Amino acid sequence: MAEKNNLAMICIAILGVVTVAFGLADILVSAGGDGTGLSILEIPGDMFRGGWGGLIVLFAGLFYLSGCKNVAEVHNASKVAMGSVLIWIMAGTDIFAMITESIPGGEDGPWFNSLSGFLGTYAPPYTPAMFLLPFSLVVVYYILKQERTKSTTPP
Amino acid sequence: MNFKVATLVIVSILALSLTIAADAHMPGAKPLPDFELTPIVINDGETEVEITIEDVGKYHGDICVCGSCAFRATQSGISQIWGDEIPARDDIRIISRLPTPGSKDCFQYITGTGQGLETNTKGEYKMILPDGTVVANMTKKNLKKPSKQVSIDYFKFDICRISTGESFEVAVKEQVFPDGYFELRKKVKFGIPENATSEEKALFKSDWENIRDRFLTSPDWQLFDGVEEPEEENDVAGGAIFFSILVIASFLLVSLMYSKRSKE
Repeated sequence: MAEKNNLAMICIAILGVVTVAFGLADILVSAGGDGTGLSILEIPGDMFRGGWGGLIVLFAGLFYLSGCKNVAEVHNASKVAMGSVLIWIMAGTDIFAMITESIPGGEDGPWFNSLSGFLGTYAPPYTPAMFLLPFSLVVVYYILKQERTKSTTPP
Repeated sequence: MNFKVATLVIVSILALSLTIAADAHMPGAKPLPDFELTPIVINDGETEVEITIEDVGKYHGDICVCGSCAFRATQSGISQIWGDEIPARDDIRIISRLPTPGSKDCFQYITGTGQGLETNTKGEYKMILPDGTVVANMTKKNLKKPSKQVSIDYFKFDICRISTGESFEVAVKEQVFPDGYFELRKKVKFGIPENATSEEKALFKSDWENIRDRFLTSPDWQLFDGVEEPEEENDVAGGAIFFSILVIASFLLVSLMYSKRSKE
């Protein structure tokens, strides 16, 4: 059990460090004023999504780091869950923006997008929060599973 | 007497070297940037000919601003009118407003109308200034006078398909040239309205290099008016994969919620 907890701690700590790095990158890039993109990763450069959003991602990372030590303990588990919720907010808004963007045909185009245009909207690059989304789901799944085990185990 | 002759010879050589320097396009200009320009492919009678910017540079003596501009303009005009077809040299007519030796040599090389060029067929090349003046005598000496007036309005070229009468005007975008470039050019090259200072000469040299590099490296739509920016191809496969993941994930989430509710 202790070994399993250690492994969870390491995984959440790594996730926390990566999240903090993404948050800082978001803030620094938007401070520079210009968005930047690697092949599949796009760091937004505007003040709202990049600056404010970066701050949220940064705090998600800090929550992960402060809660990773003993996830079995309810306070730490809630911090990690909080971090995940912050990631979901950011990734959720990004995905929602993607969906709304994919339907209309563009400024000078027709009302509705073509099939290739529609699917092309979902193509990379993606924001850092979207990359963190699957990992944040795994973390919450782990916490919920642990809580369930606790509640079913007789004292 | 011998001393006088020797002095005269030395002075003549020096004067000649100065003339060469003044004639050269930009003495001390930095080397050409890394660039990749596809050659202009034309049919010269029965043979297919590839004309590269290096060929044009060799014919003219250097790859300069006007030469590279003329090359890119011809390339752009041909692709607008002929599309993927290979034009016949004798089907090409170029009408240029630009009275500079660099552009003249480039157009003459492409149309095969220049001196010392041996081609099977010849296209047409005309120089008509923006005020309508037809320049028939295209010697360097004769071009010097109209060349003083050169401004953005002169950087326009009509590329025509003689057989069909189709024509496309290639006009260089204003933003290709820095602000005040043409006034500076007048000052540095012709001393109008007064001789340029050494700072102005240095600025002109750097502007000249930047413009030349722009003509060698920028895409057509950034250089010429009326050329549309090519649309980025959608990564349909990548988008389809992500969209499928989204749909599957949403389906799983909904079914998980329903199954839990039904258990309760």
